[in-house]
Amino acid sequence: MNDFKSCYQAAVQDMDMLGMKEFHIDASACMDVRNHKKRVVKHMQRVSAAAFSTVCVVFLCGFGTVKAAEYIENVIKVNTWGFESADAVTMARNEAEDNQTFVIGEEVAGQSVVIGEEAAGQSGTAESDSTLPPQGEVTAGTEAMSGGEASGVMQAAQAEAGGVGAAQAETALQADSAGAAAQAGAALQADSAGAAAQAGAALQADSAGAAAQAGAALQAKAVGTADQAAASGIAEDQAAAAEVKTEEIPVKNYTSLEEFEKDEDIIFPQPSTGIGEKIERTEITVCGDWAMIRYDADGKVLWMERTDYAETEGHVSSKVFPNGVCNERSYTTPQGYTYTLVDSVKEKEGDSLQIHAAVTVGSYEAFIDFMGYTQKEAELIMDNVDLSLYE
Amino acid sequence: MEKKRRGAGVSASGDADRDALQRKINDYSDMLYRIAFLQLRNNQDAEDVVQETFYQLIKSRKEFETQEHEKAWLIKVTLNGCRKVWRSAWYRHRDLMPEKENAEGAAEENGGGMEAGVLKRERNREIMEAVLKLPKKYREVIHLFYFQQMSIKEICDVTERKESTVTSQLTRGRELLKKNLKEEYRYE
Repeated sequence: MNDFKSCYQAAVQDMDMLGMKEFHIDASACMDVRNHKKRVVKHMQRVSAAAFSTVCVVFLCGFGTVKAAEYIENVIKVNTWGFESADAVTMARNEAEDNQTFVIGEEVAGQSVVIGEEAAGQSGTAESDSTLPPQGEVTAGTEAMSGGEASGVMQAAQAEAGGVGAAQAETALQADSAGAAAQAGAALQADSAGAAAQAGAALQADSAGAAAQAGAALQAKAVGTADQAAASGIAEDQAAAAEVKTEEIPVKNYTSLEEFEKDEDIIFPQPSTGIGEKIERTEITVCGDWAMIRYDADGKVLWMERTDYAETEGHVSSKVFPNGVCNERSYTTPQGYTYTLVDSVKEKEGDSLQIHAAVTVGSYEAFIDFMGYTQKEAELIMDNVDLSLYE
Repeated sequence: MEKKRRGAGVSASGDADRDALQRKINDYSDMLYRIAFLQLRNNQDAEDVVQETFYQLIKSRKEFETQEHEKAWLIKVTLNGCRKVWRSAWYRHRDLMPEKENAEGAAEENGGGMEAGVLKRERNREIMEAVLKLPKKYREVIHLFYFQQMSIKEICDVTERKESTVTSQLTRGRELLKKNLKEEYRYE
């Protein structure tokens, strides 16, 4: 057995095999301050490079975290026809796809959408917006507001088909009239092979007392590439032909805030003041993750709705107003939440002012419609809603 | 020009100082360079550390009681210089394995056709690679103990560590070497 000490000493003497070069220095080189300074500068450069790298890594990590947080949040965009909302990823994807899409006309009057008993007789304004991703996935949102003696809410009609060939369609329908509430819930689920389709439809009919509005206009818009449009057509046909399963989404109605707060465990902050001197009527509807409340006070109507998208992986929805919107502006509440206000385009000069607000906080989206309220009153109400509860 | 250069030097006392320093450089530079190279595994960094060590020697104008004391001081400053380089993230993120190709080339040139020489060089390489693979703290102690033949107490002085720490590091270093080396050695 060899002695490690002697073997190691021999190995160290033979260290040139490891790439060690011969080393010669002279006294003058060591005594020269300039050499020393060079070494100090070299060391400082390394230290600063390391520090800079660290700062860059910290900055990039922070930036990435902020960006990731932004992507989790919802985005609300104002278009000429109303609000469009989606999670940031879907919104970014849709915007990218907008460049390579074109508009084709499609009538939606034929859609078998059942509104409230009275509202069915009214003709409202409907707009359907379909965005068709290249994978053949179709997302469509339909939302309409119609005037009349009834208010009906139909939300969430989704047809979805996966790559393996499954298509699902869900429809939740609710109709509510002034006197008696009529509700209808229907869910469709269908399987089909080969195509993917997703459709979401929301329909809202609203009336304010005797002031009935008759909107005769019917608009339909579908956005998609030619191939995508064809794919969506095939998918919808297949979905319709496939086996239909029914799934009901429970819809609950309340006529007072106390009753709602007692029975429901959902977050829905309300304005503490500013609605009106006397609230004549309160209507509350809860349907899954969606809830709305309507206050009638002093001949004015305040309509608030909120949706929680925490359970979804991605979503797209839109809120459309009959004559479109204008005067987009943003305000920040004393709590630091920024909301967007728009005005409805008046059909006639004598029409009352309608202001609409949209705000997104965390996984929640809230839309508030002020009918008959002034700008100041709308701002006061917004400032008095505790949006921090949505955090 | 000459005046300026002299002015730039730490010591202006003239040729005597320079000769004294040159003698010390001749005596210790090779040892210090090997220590530095073993720690840093990089020629340029090892050169810088050794030059800086001698610069510190001139600058401090330290008087040593014995030659051993002086040697220990120089080793200590060199090891501290190496630690300063280790500390920089720059150094930590570089690939510092020995240049194998050069090493093999050198082996062919120097080893020639002599089988015994080749075997000896192969064993030396294996030992050096095993030592270089050790964590720095063990490598330092192993080198000072086996190459500089320093006692545990001297190593404690140079590395500013406790005796128990040095002893356990030496033991662990040996264990790792036993694990990494194919051949068995006596480690006493």
